[in-house]
Amino acid sequence: MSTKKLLTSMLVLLIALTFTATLQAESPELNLWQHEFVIDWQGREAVVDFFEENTQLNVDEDYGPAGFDSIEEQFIIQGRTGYPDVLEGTPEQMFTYQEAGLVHSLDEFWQDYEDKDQYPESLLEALEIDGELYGLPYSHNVRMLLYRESVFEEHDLDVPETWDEFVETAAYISENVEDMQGFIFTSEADEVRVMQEFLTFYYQLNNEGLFDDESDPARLLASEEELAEVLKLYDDMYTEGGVDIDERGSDWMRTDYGYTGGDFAMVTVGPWVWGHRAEDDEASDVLDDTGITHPPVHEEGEAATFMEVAPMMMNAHSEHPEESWELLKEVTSKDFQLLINTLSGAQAAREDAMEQDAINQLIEERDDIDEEMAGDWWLAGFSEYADIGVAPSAVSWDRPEDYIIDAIQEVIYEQQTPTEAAEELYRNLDNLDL
Amino acid sequence: MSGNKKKDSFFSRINIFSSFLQKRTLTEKKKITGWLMLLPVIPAFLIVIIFPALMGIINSFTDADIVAMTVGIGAEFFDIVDFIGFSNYMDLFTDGDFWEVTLRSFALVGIAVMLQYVLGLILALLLDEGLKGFGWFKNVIMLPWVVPVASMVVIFNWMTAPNYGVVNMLLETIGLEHLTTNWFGSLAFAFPIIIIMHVWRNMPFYALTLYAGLSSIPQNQYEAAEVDGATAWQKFRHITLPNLKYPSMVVIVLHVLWTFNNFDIIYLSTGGGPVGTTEVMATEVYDMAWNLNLMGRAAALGVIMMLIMMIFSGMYLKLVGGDV
Repeated sequence: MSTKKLLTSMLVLLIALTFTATLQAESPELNLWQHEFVIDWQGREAVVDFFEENTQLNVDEDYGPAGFDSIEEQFIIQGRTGYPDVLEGTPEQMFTYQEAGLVHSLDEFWQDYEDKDQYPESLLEALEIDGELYGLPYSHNVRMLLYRESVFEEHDLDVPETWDEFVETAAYISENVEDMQGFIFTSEADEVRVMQEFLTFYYQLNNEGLFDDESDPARLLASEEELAEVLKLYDDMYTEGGVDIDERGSDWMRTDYGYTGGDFAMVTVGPWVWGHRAEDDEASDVLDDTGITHPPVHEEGEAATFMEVAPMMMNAHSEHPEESWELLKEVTSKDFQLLINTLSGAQAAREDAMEQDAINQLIEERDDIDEEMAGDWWLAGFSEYADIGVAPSAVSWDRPEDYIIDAIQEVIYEQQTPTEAAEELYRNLDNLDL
Repeated sequence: MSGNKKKDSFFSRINIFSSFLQKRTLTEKKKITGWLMLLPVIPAFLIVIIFPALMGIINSFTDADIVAMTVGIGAEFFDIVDFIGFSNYMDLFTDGDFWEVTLRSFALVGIAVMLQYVLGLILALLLDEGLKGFGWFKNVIMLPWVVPVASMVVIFNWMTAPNYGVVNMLLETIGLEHLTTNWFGSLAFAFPIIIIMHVWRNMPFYALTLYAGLSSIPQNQYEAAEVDGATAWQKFRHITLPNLKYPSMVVIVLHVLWTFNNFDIIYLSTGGGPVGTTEVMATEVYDMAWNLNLMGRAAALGVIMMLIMMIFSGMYLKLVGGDV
């Protein structure tokens, strides 16, 4: 290559770089706190790569803290600085953020959003506060009863329909099946899953919810008797042997990994456990051997379960609301949702990201997605009961969660009877100014 | 012209300062130099230590909640919160939980520090004996102390897990399966395991500090005692222990402070459970602030902790010869 050509090439390259840098400088840098981008799971790398290759925006590659608790603490302290612009969270956290004036109402953007018809009304309602939308539904799940089909067949057991059958079946399995316990409740202090499991059973007795969020302050809807009934289920499970007393204080990992590790015959969880499938052959075998049905129903109640709609939110103090809305749209877009939910086994909130043809096509295109997903039975098993899901009331859940966990622990550690614990729980919840 | 004037004024000030220093005694000169060297640190000290402490004290007299935390410090903060006098302190003192966690904090400090000292001293004596094959031990002894707390908690969680934990497996192997349990989830064992974790982590620090103390004891003291026919116990009682008095007190007071203030070991292992049986003051502050949304009351508890720590710090400063 002649010197002249070399110099010309270098000049062209320099101009191109300067032009790119100028374009980059014009686009404000946005910050995204996305839980799945930072926690360790099998699909993390694929979704981060996909996002970074396809984003049209200038997004910082620091995707925030790992763990929803850390996200909440840090966002509360620094949210008013405008950092981050967009974040993922739980609906319970969204209600807290809204109370603190930290999240932006999306109504002004939503009206003109071209994909708004893709979202079921029930999911949008779960993220509304006083009629305003504060989060774009990101994924959702209903808690179902997962059970080991081969164990039930081998021991000629029926899948429990009522709470009494539930306790009886769990106790039978713990007693008669080697190295297996009937069921497990998550019961660790400060663990949000504990409250979600409690509500799964409570909603069967009162599917109006725990609080009436229309009134100000929110009014407690539960009766002392209803709370006592749910706590009695916990008590019965431990005293009858359906749940091993050594499992008191177990965290969510014990529940999820214990099930996929073959330690429990039944659990009440969401579709995310599919994400453990790639970890080892045992987990894969257990999930292939899994039946999905609604949680057993109280004799005087109606089928209902906890429904979680994960919101993607915009910081009310973001300096770039227009660009943040674009970022929100990107992380909730069909293509992104299709990939992340198919990899993790979760249910996308968008209807077009749940279409079987689209999932099949994605599986054909990529070799990092489990072909078993094409069978559709897993997500269909959860979708079948989506209509019995009840979303938590739009209140700040920090204190209710603490009181509920306290009550459960008092019962399972035999410090109080279900009636005594329910009395105290009722008093605490009723005194809250939410 | 004006540049020269400035230069002259600068040098004349230096001259004034140096003639001021020359008129001082040596002790005064040392004091002035000390203060001058401290000068750059003072702003950092004010921002990092004094300001947060003052805000904590102010918060403790308010009804601050999570919303107040989002606005930071400024006029808006004082618009949001109400000053409620000593209500937070009164609420704490009339709440049975406060006395329970305070007592537990002192129990943790008392038991853990005592065990750490006794075991650390035994280890130091073994090291000092220079037993054959024990040399390598000096190199690995500090491992528990340098392992991150999160890793230590994972190790203990794994060892005490209900099914696959090595502790339970060991018990089963030796025919004691009736003793197997979920150790961290047990009302009876969760707190003792927290103490064990503290001891496991800090014992090497005691051992090395006391070993250094043992090495500095003049050998002729032991030789003289031997000539006088002293027994091993008498030598330990009248030579070793008195010579270890100073390093012992320093290491004990330091660990009293660290253990009383420790948050991460309990937070990461039990979160204060089960049924609050491992809750101590440090974790209770967090629980009040973030789970119960009672920032003001959490600040009041923090202030009480600060006062207790100041007493311990005063003792430490007195020991190391500083002004209290």
